[in-house]
Amino acid sequence: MRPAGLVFVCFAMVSGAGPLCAAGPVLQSEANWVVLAGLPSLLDKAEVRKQLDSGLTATLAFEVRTTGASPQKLRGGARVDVRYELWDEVYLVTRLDASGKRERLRFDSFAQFGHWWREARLPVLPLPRGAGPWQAEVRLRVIPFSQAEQRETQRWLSDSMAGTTGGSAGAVSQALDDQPVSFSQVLQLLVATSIGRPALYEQEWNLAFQVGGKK
Amino acid sequence: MESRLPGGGQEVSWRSAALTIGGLLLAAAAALWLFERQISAAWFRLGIQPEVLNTLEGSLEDQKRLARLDPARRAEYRRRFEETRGLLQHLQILEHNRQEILQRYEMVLLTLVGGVLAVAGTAHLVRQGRRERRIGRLRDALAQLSSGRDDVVVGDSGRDVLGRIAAMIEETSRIIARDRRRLAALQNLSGWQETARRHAHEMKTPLTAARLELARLQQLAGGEAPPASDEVRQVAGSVVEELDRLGRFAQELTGFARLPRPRRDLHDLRKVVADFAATFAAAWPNLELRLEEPPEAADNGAFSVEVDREMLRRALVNLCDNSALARPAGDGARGTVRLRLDGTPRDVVLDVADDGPGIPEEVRPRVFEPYVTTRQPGEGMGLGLAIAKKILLDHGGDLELRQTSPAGTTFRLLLPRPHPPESEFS
Repeated sequence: MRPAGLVFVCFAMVSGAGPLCAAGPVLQSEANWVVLAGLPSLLDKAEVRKQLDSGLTATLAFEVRTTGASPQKLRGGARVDVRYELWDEVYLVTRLDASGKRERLRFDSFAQFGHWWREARLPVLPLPRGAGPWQAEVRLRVIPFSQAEQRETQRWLSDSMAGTTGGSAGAVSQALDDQPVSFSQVLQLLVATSIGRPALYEQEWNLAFQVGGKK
Repeated sequence: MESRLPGGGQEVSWRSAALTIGGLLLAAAAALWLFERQISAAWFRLGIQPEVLNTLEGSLEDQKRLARLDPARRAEYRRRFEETRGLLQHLQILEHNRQEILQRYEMVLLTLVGGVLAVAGTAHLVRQGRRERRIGRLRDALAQLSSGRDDVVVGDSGRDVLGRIAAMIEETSRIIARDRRRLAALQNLSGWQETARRHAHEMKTPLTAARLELARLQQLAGGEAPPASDEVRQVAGSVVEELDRLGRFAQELTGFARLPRPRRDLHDLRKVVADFAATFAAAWPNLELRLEEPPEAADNGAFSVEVDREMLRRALVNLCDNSALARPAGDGARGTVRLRLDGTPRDVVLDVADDGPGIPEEVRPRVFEPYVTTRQPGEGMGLGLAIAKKILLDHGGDLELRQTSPAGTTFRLLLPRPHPPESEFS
């Protein structure tokens, strides 16, 4: 392929040329929803795979918002929480989409989970009013662990720094509730609250979809 | 002792600097210790290292394997597995946040160091400002001193070099004031001495002539028959009596006018005063002389002064005379005069305190002036205190009315030490 042709293909991929690009996701109208299908093959990426097998609850979060000249601005999204149960060696998956549907799934192997992922169709936006072509920006973030796990680690870190060995009430929440007065509490708060949930992986696509006709 | 000359300032200055540096080092050490205890130790206790994570992961596999091999204890292995898994997950989450935590770690360290520096800097600025204000006060005090003020008070009791300079200025001011008072008193007494000398001189010539004429008159009257001769003898006797009184008066004036310069030798004032108390113990029937021990166990030479023993004795006699004459006559009670030695760095002090009726208020400001007396005319010329004052001034010292009240009067004799301690500006 000549360089000009390669540039064209890449442009088509990032601009949501749809069926021409097999590796990227697509948006499709379906009943009352805009559905995200053909989920990206990021599960093969080493850092993502390692995180999914860590035992922590990783979240694959999609954020979608319409763009372009249309006066109607829509926002939506969907998420898939994945936790590998280390003892039973199964993948526990929770799917939550824009329709409010929550689905809990269990996969005995990563291959099964991968198959489900490739075939999954996630409602991410309510269907816009008015027929015609639409543009949307899709953003995927892989968040390595859940908020509950984050809070639990903050609590554990605070207890470790305070030298306590037990107790369920963490120094962080205590400090937040009681307004810290001592220097050690301030330090605990400073360090413990530095635990955030930075995204492990991020990717964005600009996709087009058709409402009221063939895409 | 009344006052101390400032001294040892260099040590104080070094001590102050050492304390400041020590304080800063201590603060820095405390901050680092706190940091180590609160942050570093905890952080390293966590042991976020890849090998720890690998070990924990291996431990998880071991628990699972053990559970399969020993199903009876499966629950126990599962519990251990969950504990290990929890720890592993905490460490994994920390590993994800390693960069952020390290940044916070550095931020806290920098904040601590910055805090220490800010405190040190603020303390320095405060000290600098305080020093500037103190220097300003010293400048004002020096300006007052140079303009002739002799009551300069700086009001800086610091023990550093500025405090010592302030003390020196105040001491200089006190010395100037004292010298001015002494000079004024000397000038005043010298004037009175000159007046007394003239009066005595003017009186002596006619007094001598009158005595000669009276003798001749008595001789002439000797040839007369009684009763004329008896009458002349009686009148002549009365005139002689008056002339004798006038003679004593002239003699007192002469004594005051011709006070000799003191011939000073080194004496231990304790011994001089003790001798005086012993010698004059019975000199005044209505007085008891009592020598009190010095308040501090003084070493040899603590009361050594260069003094004319006889003149000092004369001053003490005059003071005791005043005490004895001031007591009510005929009451039979004996008063007490206490002789108490003390000292300042510059002077040896002798307090002479009686328990008499005190000096009337209107007389106090002029008590050392000649011819000022509370006694009836003819009972004394009021020269005793003036003579005593002149004697002390001629010794380079002074005589002060320390206090007087209906319960008694205290005079203070100040005699300069032969070798006063060195001050910063001597």
